[in-house]
Amino acid sequence: MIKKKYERPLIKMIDNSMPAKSGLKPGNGAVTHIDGVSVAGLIEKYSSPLFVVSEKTIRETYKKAYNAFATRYPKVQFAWSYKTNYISAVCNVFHQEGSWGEVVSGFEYDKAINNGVPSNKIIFNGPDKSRADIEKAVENDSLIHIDHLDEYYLITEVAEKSTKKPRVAIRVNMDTGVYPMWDRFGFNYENGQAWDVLNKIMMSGAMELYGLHCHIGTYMMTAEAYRIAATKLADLAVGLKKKYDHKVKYIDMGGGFTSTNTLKGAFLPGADTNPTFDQYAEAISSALLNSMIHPDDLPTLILETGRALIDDAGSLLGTVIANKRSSIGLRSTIIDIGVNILFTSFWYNHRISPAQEYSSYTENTTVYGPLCMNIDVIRESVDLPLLNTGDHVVIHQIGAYNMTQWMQFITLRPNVVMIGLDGEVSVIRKGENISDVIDSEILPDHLKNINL
Amino acid sequence: MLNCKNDFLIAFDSSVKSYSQIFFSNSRYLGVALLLTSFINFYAGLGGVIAIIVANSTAYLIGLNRVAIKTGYYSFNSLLVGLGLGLYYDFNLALVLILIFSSMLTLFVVVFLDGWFAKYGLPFLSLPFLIGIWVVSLASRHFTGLSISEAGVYLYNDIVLVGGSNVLELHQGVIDSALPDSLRIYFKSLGAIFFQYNIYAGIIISIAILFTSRISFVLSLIGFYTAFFYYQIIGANITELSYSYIGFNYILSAIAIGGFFIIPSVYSYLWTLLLIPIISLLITASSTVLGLFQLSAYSLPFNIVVITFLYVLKLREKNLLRPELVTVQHFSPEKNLYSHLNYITRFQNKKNIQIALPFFGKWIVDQGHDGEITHKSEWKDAWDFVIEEKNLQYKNEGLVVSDYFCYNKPILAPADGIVEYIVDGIDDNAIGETNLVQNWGNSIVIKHADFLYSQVSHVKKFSFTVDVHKNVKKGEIIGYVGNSGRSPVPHLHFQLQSTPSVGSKTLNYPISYFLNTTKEIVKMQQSSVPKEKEIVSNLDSDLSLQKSFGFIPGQTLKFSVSENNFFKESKIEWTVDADFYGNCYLFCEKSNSYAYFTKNDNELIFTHFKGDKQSLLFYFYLAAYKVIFCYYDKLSVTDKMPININKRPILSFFQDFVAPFYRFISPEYRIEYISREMIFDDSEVVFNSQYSNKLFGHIAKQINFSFFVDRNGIKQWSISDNVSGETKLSKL
Repeated sequence: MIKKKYERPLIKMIDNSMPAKSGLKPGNGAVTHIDGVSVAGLIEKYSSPLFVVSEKTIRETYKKAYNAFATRYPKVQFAWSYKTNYISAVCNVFHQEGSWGEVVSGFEYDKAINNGVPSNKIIFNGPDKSRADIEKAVENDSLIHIDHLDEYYLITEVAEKSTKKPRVAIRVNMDTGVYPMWDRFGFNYENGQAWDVLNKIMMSGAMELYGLHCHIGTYMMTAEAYRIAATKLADLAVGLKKKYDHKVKYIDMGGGFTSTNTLKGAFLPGADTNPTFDQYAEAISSALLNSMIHPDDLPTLILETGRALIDDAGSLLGTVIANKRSSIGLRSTIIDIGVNILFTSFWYNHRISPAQEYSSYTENTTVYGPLCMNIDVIRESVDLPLLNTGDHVVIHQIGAYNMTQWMQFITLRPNVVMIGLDGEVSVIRKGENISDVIDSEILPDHLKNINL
Repeated sequence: MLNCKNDFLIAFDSSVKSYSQIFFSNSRYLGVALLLTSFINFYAGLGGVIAIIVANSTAYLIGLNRVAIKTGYYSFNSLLVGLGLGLYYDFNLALVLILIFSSMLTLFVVVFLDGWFAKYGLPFLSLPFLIGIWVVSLASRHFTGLSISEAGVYLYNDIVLVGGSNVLELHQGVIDSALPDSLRIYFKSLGAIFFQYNIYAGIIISIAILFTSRISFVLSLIGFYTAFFYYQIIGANITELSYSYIGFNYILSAIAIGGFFIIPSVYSYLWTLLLIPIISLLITASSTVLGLFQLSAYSLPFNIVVITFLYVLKLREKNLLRPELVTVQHFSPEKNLYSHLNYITRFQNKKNIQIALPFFGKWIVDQGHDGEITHKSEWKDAWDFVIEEKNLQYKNEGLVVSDYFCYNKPILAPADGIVEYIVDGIDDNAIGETNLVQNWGNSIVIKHADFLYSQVSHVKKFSFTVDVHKNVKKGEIIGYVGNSGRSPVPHLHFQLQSTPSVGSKTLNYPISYFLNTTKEIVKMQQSSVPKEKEIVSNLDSDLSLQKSFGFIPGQTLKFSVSENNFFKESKIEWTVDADFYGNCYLFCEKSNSYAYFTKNDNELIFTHFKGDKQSLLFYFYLAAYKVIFCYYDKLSVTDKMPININKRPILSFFQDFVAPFYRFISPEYRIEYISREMIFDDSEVVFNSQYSNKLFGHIAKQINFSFFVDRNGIKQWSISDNVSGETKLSKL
């Protein structure tokens, strides 16, 4: 017989009114296993905190997204957004599923090449492309998405010296009826900048215009904005066909789809309010199919979805360090997961589940990270059962951005493991140790000796 | 302008072909052999030549079909009359006159019977000859100018006359004593077809038949020997003269039934055996009746048996295709057989109107033809398509229509057509409920051709994007999937039918091209019916392949050939052209070769080749035998090639003997898509193809080809095998 778990006594006022947002139970009970692998076992073996990526969830989510588009539009291609999560194992799951690579820097470009992505299946986005980057991309027949005119001039210069004809697309920004309007990237549609650069490209003949690209924002809570964006890009495509008899090969709708995370300040859970893949797909596909583009000329639809494809597949396992009460008596729990490795806790109210069975009694809790910094708050207010030191927690849907935007600050970055389709656990990124930090430091000779 | 030399050649050709027509062939060599044979008895031969000249020139001057004249179609009956008269009567002016007019008469009878029988799709065979020779025989009794010739009656006399007594001794030594009786009669019977009642004519003819058609040769033996043994069983003696010189009836019937008018097969051979006793009855009966008029039955039994049997086969209601009639006559049992086999494997199911699947992406057949639930009796040939993820058709609980993956997905027009009918305004059912009153729910019927309509049902209310009587293009969105009518859960009901009303009787009509995916492996399906639980999707056509292989008449293809010992050509130029009948072909002037092809939006298929099998065009024909205009990684498609495509004459010779039963030579074609630079449909594509000639299932010869194409056409292709090494051809 197992000894029953001790829970401290708790006095709580019974609330008989309708459940409000604060009245929901945390999750659906304890999460003791991920893909059939025990959380406690994982922590024991790979230490805490620990990033866990589920290969199964990635593949399932990818298929769901792909099918949503492919059953509505004839030619669909995803390009994995490297900045969302560029751990090689994660990237390669997407590449195995058929995704290309979408990169926004020379570093990411090299990483994609290193992962084995054929260079002509790499989309090079972003405002920061050095001359060397562009030379490499042109030589490799990669798809360069032009962000500004200076880049256009740079590509023209590079093209003059190269035997290759650069394959380019332009990034277009536009009013899609959504605030804030992202107009810092690319060329504006409404004021004619887009046509200005298109004219330049078509007239100069120095490069080949492969496609049109937009990326209207991030965490877009409405699919309608995509309908407007797709309509506007289709309009450009039709114009190019009419004016230059040029058929664009693809329309790239960028990313920005939401995951099911709940944004801070949102009244209802993200799972209930955020658009689904089907809604995005319906908006984009129908806008393109119903546009004036001739059915024989339909361009390939490229999607650079990042977050929506990976968020669900990532979980962060942690351990309770201590419990205490604040000055006003509010319960606080300190866990070993800080904002340095869970960057997205600034944006989302992450769902936190205990990793062991618990009773139905919960208490409003503030979850703090381990950093000696006042900002290190994972959740300001969350109903959690009574956790003891050494108990484990699982923070869900953290696959996007955390494993790229994390930083080595105060603590070291932990292990990242992937649970394979067969339940096999493999470390896909080793946790840092002190030498990772000090090896790249150079200590001037006169500072080597300290006599204290 | 008259070209005398040319005209003479045509005249000669058509005369020679008259001879081979008698043995169901259009081979020049056989014709020449028979022509020479007929001159073993000089006057018989001369009579034949006169008759042909008369018949052909009469036909030509009257203005009958020139093509038919050239093939000897009109003259071979007159030829037989000429041979007969030349043999029977002493040659003099009276005979020549009678010969001329009887040839004309025979020609008229030919034309008359041709017109009469053509309605029934039956051949007139040698009926005109019979009428001609009987008329002359009956009439000539009153002509004193004609006297019966003794030629051919006394063989030994003839031999001595031609070769002296030494030859006679040789003849007696070899032929009379060494050859078995039956074989001697077999040869004599063959000779008798040409009114040459001697063994030498028979031997020459049988060798000539052997070299023109192995199947005919075998059949001639089968026909004769079956009769031989049959006569032994019933106690008659075939060696008696009265039997032997009409023994050719068995031989001709065997060739006609076993391989010429019917595709050679076990069944045709079986029928050949079964008809022998009937022929023997007819021989005896007709000889008895005609004997009253002192006429010979000649080939009457053969004519009666073949014509009646073919008529019977044509009137079959239940077409079991055992045996199967020849539809396009190639004048050779081998060619008939091989082209028939090729047709069966490659084109039997091909339809003129190409029907695609009515959706984007991968769907699964939830209920196929002859389904368990509703696809029964009159409506058995229909499909219900749904989308499944992880074996489920829905997400969440599946309690509302919008939980279903297929709900509200676009429906596409399966082919070009005109919207015939739309039913709209019926609400979606709640999950699990059905609307049996408005059974079909919101439906659309599109007319694609006369008697070919497609119907999609259970469409979402007010979601149609097209109107009645409007044209739709293949692949255009026509509406969205719903759950109206007899539909407990959303699905797309699709059927083809031959009448326009909603809910018509379904038609078993294949989907022209689709892909089916099992465990991530993509397979190409052509002209077939998607089966239940199959995951299917449409092809994405590839522009580069389409532009490179969608040859248009008027186009020229030019390639430079890399240095090579095997092929003499260093530059090639082919033109694409179409003939009088609209058959398209690639033509190489240098080698005077033709590679015929057909194409549609989805593929190019070469159908046959004519000309020099050493030319590069022949190799191109092998290399691009079938190219499907779509690209999928590692997709490979195979196709059967006709047996006579292989270039090994001795092997083919032996294959022909057993071809109706067993084909040990099986040439195969395979295309494999290797890489595409980008997914964009106008990127550079590399594919390999392969011709392999298999003997008893083992590859005996293999030629590999590799193609590199882009949107501007074929950039480069190469041929490699162990004989010629590697040859590269680059676009000029």
